[in-house]
Amino acid sequence: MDHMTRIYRKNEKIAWRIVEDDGVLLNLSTGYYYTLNEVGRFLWETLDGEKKLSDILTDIIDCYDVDTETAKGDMLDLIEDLLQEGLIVADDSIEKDASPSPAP
Amino acid sequence: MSKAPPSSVHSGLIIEIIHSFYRNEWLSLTTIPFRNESDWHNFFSVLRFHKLIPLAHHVLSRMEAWPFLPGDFTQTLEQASFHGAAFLLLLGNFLDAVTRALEKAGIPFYVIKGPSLALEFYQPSNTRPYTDIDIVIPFDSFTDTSTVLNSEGFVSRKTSFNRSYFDSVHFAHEQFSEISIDLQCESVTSIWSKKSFLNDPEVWNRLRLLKSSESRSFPVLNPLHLIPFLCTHLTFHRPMALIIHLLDLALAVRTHAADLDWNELVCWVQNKQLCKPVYYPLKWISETLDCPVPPAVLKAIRPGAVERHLFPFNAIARRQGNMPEYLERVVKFPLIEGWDNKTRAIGSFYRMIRKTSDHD
Repeated sequence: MDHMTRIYRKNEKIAWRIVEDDGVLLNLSTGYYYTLNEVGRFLWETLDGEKKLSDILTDIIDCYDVDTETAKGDMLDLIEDLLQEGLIVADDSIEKDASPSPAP
Repeated sequence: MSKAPPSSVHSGLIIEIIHSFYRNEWLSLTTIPFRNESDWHNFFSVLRFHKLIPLAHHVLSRMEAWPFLPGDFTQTLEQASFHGAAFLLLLGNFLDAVTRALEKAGIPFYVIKGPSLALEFYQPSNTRPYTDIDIVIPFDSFTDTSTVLNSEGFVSRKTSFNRSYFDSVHFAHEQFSEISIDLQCESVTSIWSKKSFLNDPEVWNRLRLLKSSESRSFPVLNPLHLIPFLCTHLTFHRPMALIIHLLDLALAVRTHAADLDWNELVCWVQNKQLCKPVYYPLKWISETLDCPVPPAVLKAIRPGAVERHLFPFNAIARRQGNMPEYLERVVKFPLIEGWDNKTRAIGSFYRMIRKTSDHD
C-alpha cells in the first residue's frame, strides 16, 4: 500500500504544545516525551485525519525551502518513527471510504 | 586565571529578560555579557534557582544574538525548556482529571499558585514552570478529597490536616512519582495569625472561574485576595525570592489594576495585618517594572521610614541561592505584624524544633 495515499491522525493519548518553533509531544500513558523541529511540528499539526500524506508533502514544499525528494524521504522517516512510538494512527476507515468499492 | 562576572551582571541580565517578557518587547543585547562558558553555566544555575528557564529560553531565543551564544548554554536551555513543557503537559492532564473528579464529588475547592498563574498571566503558558498542583479545600473536606485523589491514583501517608499548625498535605501519583498534589486549607500566615486567609468565607464567596480550555474552567482566587496572597507567599515562602514570584505579582497587578478596588484591598490587608509583606513586593514591582501600583496604596501600607529604608528587600530578592534557615527566620520575623503574632510565631518555631528533636 502506498504510504502517500494514506491518512493519519494523532493518537488521542498524546498531549502536545508548541515551544518556540518546535513541538513537544507527550505520551500520557507512558510519560515519555518527544521533540520535533519546526518542519516536524508542521507535519504533526497537519496530521488531522483528513489530509493524505501527498497533500501534506505539497504543503511542506510550499512552505519550506526544500526539494521534493528530500522532503518526501524525511517525511516518510518521521511518519515511520511516529507510528513506531504510537504517536499517530493510520486512519484506515477514511481510506476505505475513499477507495473504490470492490467488484461484485 | 579567569575572573567571574559580579553577581550584578547575572541580576542585570535577568532583569532585562523579565522586562522584555513583561513588556512583550524583543531583547537586544548590544554586547554578549559573559565571556567564559563557566559564566554561562553559572547564569543557567541562577535562572534555574529563580525558575526562569523556559521564560529565558522564550526571550533569548528570539533575539538576534541567540546564534552567537555558546552552544552548550543554548542547547541546555532548550532541552530544559522542552523537558519543562512536557512536564507541564503531564501536570495539566492530571489537573484536568482531578478538578473534574472534585467537581463530580461536589467538593468545594480552588486552585492556587503555579497552574492558575501560568494559565491566566503567561503567554505562552509554558513559560511559567511549576512542579505540583496546589489545591485549597475546606478543613473538613480532607477525607472526601483524599478518597477522590486516591481514585485518581494519588496517595499520601497523612490522613488529615493538622489543626495546630500550618499544614500542606502532599499526595504523590502512584505511576508518575514526580507528579504531586498539595492540599491545603490555609496560608502560611496561619502559623502566627488567628485571622483566616485562604479559608476566610469572603475568599470562598468571591472566587472566580478561570478558563483552562475551550470546555473547562476551575475556581481561582479573586484578584482582591490573589494579590495579597502572592505577596505573602513570596515574602514568607523561600523569602523574597524567587524572581518568578515577583513576575507573577507584576503580571497579576497589571492584568487587574484597572478593575481592582484598591481601597478594598488596602482594608483587607490592614485587617489581616499583612501590610509589610504586601508593601515590599508591590514597591519592588512598581519600581523595577513600572507596574501600575497606585502610590496611595503604597503610602497606606508602608512601614515606618527607618524600617523601610533598612529592610534589604532588593538584595534579598536578587540573591542567587537559598539562604540558611536561621537567616530566613531572622529576615521574616520583622515582617510579622503585632507582638501577639510575633509571640505565636516564636512559639510555633519552638514547637516545630521540639517535634523535630522528638522525632530524631
